[in-house]
Amino acid sequence: MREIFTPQSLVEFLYNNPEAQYDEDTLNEIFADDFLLELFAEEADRMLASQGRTCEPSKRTLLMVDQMAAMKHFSSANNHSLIFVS
Amino acid sequence: MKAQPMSDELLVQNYIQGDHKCFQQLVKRYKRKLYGYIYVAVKDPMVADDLFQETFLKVVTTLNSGSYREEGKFIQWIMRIAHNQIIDYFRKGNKFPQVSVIGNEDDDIFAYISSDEPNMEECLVTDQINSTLNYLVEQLPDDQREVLKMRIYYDMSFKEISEETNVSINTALGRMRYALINLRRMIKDREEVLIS
Repeated sequence: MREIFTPQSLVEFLYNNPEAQYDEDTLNEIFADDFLLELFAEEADRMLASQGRTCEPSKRTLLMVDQMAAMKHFSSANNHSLIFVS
Repeated sequence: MKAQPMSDELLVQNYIQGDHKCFQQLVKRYKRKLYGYIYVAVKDPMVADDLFQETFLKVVTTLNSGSYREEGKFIQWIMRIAHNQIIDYFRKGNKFPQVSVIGNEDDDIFAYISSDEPNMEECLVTDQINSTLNYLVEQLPDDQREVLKMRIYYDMSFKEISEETNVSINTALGRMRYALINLRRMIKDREEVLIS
């Protein structure tokens, strides 16, 4: 028998329940399901509304993520030339 | 006619090949779902921001290390990473160092109190410096790289280096000098690239 979860009760079950035993395949199904993930986003919208926010990372976080992605590429770029030799 | 959006797989491949804009598209596509899931789990916007950032740090690191294997959907993979981050967070007993900001409800990175452990940004910067420096050292001519590594990494004296490499002390010193000059020049060139 499958249990019925809301977004809140699912995270309670997964992360605040040391006895939790869950099926990895079910979890993968949830993570691949756009509709279910949108339910989490809507729940976050509802919870964040009291703080005047929406379900969106801060601008600084997004900037950091963007810089990380750009920096990693730069570090692997091969664009040097040597001038001095002994 | 409206163009079809690029698939996740193609965006990932293009990013790996150097198209940074493709990574931005992936973030734009999934930031809401990923952040929503994390936030509902941890119920703290600052912690959610931190875990969101950590998740993408792992994504970027994996993609750039060439160890990404396409198994299932991209979103499934990043959600898995986030899931593990959330588990780690709760395992640590919710002990993320943070304080509330009096009179300011906005999330503020400076609300994080200092900790002895390096934070994600510091780790990233250190990792970046080490990686860049190692890369630059590897670009040096063989004889200069050899002397520099013996001196800096193995803490050998110039006398030991000269014996090990069968050259005079003056030659070893000269190679070290040229190695440092070349490194400085390469770092300067790199800074110019960064600025431009």
